[in-house]
Amino acid sequence: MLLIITVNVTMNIKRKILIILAVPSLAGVLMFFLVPFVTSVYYAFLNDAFNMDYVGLQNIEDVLTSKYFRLAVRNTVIFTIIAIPAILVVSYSMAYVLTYTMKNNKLLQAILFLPYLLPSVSITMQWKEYCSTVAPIVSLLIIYLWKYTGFNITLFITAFASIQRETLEAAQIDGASSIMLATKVVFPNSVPMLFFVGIISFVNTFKVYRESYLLWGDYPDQSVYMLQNYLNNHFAKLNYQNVAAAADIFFAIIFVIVLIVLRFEKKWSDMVW
Amino acid sequence: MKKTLNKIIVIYIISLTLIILSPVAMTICGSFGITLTEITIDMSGYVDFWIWKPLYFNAFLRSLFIAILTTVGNLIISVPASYFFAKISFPGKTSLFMLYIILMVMPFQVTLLPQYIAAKSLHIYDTLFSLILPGIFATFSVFLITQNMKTMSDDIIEAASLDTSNPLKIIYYVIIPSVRPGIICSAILVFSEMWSQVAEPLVMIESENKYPLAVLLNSNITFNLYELATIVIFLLPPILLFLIFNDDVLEGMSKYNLK
Repeated sequence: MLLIITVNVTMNIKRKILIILAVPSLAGVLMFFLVPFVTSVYYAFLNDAFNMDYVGLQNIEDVLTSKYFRLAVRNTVIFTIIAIPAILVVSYSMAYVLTYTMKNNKLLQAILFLPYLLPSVSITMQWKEYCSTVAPIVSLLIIYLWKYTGFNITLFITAFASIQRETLEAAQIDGASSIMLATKVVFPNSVPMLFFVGIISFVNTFKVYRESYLLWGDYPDQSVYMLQNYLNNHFAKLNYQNVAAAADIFFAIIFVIVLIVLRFEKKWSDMVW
Repeated sequence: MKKTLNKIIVIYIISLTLIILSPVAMTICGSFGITLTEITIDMSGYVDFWIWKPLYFNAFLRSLFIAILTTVGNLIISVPASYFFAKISFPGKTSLFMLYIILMVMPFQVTLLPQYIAAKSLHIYDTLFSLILPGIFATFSVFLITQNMKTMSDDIIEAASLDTSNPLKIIYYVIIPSVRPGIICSAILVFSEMWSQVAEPLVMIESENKYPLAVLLNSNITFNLYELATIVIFLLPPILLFLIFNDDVLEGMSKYNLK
């Protein structure tokens, strides 16, 4: 009895020491991401990066009351609400078919991944032709789906690959139909990945800025003036305190979203397991 | 009934693939001098790339250096960290992990100037290491591999920890084989991310003769044969990586087939 308790205690101590595994990563994150980010938070309260005068919440107030910032936030929210569910549905279903219906999908998968790698500028000419007939926001959505569907498919296929074959076989022996396998076995097992892909897709909506810039320049149509246009235009004008203030607001929003998503994920996993 | 449904799905996927492929196909045709009006095969763009003009070839080697070093370094750092995040209980771990997620989600416009200041103070500004080091510590793969490890059962790790107390051994012999698909996937994605990054080099690197290939291809190009050939060659390394390692990702599922 005593022996078991001692073993347990030593194991617990050892487990705490294992934080050492994460130390290299934590140190690098601190140096290259966290400290720079905190610096940028600090900039939000200065009047500019050179004089370093403290101005309190003035910058944040300026940003929040700016007409362009509001427009940018509204457009970004609209685009995100349409684009993320769309890409999740398309890429999840395609990944599912590629994995479980089509056996030899290697080449197809590589082809689907190609758009992610193609330098944006090399196809701008084609996009200009394709997109002249539709609304700007629709063309942005098409470009987004075109570029990141294959990327997401790759992630989903990895998730499917780590579902143990025994689990699937056991379900099939128990008489599960293919629809039941899809909804009761594969889907619950890929929920962590679904959240991950959701977050990554959100990050990727910000990268469509490159195409938007190539198509329409600094000042696109009002309907596609996004947060990234706002940030980039102010960054280019060296209005850094403005960018930093917008970044802080952005950070607060992301913080809340991530918190909600993680809560939801935890609830979901508790429910499934 | 089921077979026809499957056929419809397959046709749907293939036609989507063709739509996705068409801009790429046009670039490839263009690199050989094939246009809608004339069909000739002109290899001069490729000859220029490999033999006569060193500009893009040198940038190609630089990009390879950056992407390979970053991918290897990133995995060495991320795999143990993911093990920590997925399987070891530690006070405050959830908050730390959330921090990783938030840092991952921040768009580059937000962190760019601070990172530039960091690079200056570390004396790596205007060197390739100003791209490689942040890439190595990017939290993306920690998150991806952690999500993969979460689905692993704890019993295997418990059993292994009875045999050895060295966590590195557990990682090498138990964890890595179990989440191999996730690790390879994150390697491919880190490589591709570094391979195609444009914004970061423009800020971190001043000398034009140190620019990676993606930056040169995204600047003002005139779409001559040499440039089109370079675009096609630019696509090859990530695609080859993808094709080579795809077997690993798909291994273990090929036998199983849900119909």
